[in-house]
Amino acid sequence: MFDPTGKYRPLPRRGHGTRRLVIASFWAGLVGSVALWWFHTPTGSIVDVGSGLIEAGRITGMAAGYVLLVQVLMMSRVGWLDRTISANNLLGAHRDLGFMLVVTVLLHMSLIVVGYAKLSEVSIVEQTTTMLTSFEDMVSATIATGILVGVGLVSIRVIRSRMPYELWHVLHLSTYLVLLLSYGHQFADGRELVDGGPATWVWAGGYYLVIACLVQGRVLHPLRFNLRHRLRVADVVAESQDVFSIYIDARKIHEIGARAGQFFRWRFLARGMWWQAHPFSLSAAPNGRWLRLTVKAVGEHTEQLKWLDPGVRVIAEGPSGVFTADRRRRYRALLMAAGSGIAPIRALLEELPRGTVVIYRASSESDLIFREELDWLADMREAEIVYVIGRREDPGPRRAMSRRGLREIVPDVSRRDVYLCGPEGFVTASVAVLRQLRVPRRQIHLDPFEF
Amino acid sequence: MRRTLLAVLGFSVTVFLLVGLKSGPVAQVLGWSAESGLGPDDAPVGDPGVGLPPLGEPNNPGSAGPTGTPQTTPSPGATPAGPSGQPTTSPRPGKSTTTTTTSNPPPPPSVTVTGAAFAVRTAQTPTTKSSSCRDCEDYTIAVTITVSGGRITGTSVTYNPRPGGESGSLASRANSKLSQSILSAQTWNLGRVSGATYCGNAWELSVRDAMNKAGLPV
Repeated sequence: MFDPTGKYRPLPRRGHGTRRLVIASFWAGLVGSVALWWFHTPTGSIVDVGSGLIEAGRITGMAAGYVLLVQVLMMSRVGWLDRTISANNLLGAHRDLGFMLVVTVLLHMSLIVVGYAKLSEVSIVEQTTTMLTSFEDMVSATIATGILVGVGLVSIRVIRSRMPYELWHVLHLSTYLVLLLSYGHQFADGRELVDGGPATWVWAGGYYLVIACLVQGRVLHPLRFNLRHRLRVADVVAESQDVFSIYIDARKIHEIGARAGQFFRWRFLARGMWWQAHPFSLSAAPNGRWLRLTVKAVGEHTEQLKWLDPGVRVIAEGPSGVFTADRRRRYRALLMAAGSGIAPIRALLEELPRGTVVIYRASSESDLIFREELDWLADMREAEIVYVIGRREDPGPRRAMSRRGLREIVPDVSRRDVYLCGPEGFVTASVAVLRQLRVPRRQIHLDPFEF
Repeated sequence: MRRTLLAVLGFSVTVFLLVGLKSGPVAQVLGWSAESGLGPDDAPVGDPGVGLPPLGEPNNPGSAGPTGTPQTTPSPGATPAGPSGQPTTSPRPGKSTTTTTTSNPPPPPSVTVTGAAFAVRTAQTPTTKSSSCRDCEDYTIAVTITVSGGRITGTSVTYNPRPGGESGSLASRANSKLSQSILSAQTWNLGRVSGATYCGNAWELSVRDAMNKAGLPV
């Protein structure tokens, strides 16, 4: 089945300016939101504790409103963002910001209530009732806060790991309700936004922008992609005992602008699995004839995939990810994979220049997949493949993964980009060793998924 | 986890600093208060001419006509300080308000006098707002006082339009306070009443006008 006809095309290395620009605009936006408060607050207008609390409540409100928009934007899967910032970093930022968002919203609420209660010298309970009954859109804002806190709670790792992913996902999608329900009170009661001036327009513009990105990333782009390419399963091939590859056929396949190392979210339209989409990386660089993903049967869904019939329609969302050859900082690269993490690494090898080193760890010889392909590619690309067989505690792997072992295999490791893919333990241990070997952090690339 | 805690801490400190920079004492130390200008409602009490822009100013959203049911009889002394030339002309037809005083002559011995309506600007910004004020935080207050035997025995307030949201709740809260204070002090000049920073000034000015008209010493 494997037939590498693709020639090596040296890819231009892309600058990291866009990434910096995106990060800078995030901070600029945050400063801008608080600046709206600053310019609406006359100097010296804070004269007592009550008004101080209210102003603090307003600042936290502006920050929370902004962060909420950013949170939704980060998960919009809009192309320019997905191709700029790695899914790993986006997810990490989404998690951190999510925590901040919950804290900020709760602060906003309590500061405003306590502040007004102080100012009008009534009890907090009475003030809360007054606000709920007499302020416009305050009930929906309170519901939004409730949903947000709930979503925050089920996202705590301990709780999340005890829930089925689909349930968690549906609960998490209710954050769109937060966007909707909290919208009204910002414009009806927020002093900065109520007056219909430029601030109101900028703020509303933020909403339109985020919604546009959401529609583009989640609806329009997938729709266009799938109408254009009409993906179908071509074949399912076993690679080892529990690993198999799915070959995908498509119309105008040479126009799919995917890179080795990128992933799609795949939805197979077959009985019992059409309702879930899962991300898998390409396990071969796109070659104009088929796409291939390689799956390890570990769960119910992946077990089902093994029995896919050729011809089954596939809906794909992507390509996404920045685990690609054009993101490297140096000319040469070191690829490190463990287990089925070899899939995107195997694809990347096709797009990297000569002299690439691949370290591939597997627990036994029979678990090695793509062995022939790798050896063949190594020949073509003058790459060096180091197979490390054995469990992590065995002397062989321990030595290979030590500082000294790694330096023996790759003497110039600190002058290479390192691409890592494998189980979490493997990745963290390897990154630690690489850091000790003075590999700069920006030269270390992580695949967004743990295998 | 440590990182997020640091972020929360950093954010809290930033908020604290920002609020601090806008607070009165700090602003004075930094010498900012003059340049930025206080909001109209923060003008020192007892200096009526400066505190509030006069009603009838063209883009005053509050100038939406008197709501009081009693017949409005223009009274000469009622026009508050301000450019007296053009107060009655408003860009929106039918919405012009003369700064009228409603006097409703009840049977003696108690007299009810309504003071001129004064604008309350909750936005606190000295600049005039655009005419498309959505929530209409800007509104006017006209206070009616009941005088019997040379003493103020009761007050009531007419809003135009009735404020909603936080302004509304603050206003109604302030009313009871201001009313009590006026009844006990028998003067319009109350100084700052907690919770009344938004509308206190307008209250006082309207009461002052009403007392004037009722012939009480101001």
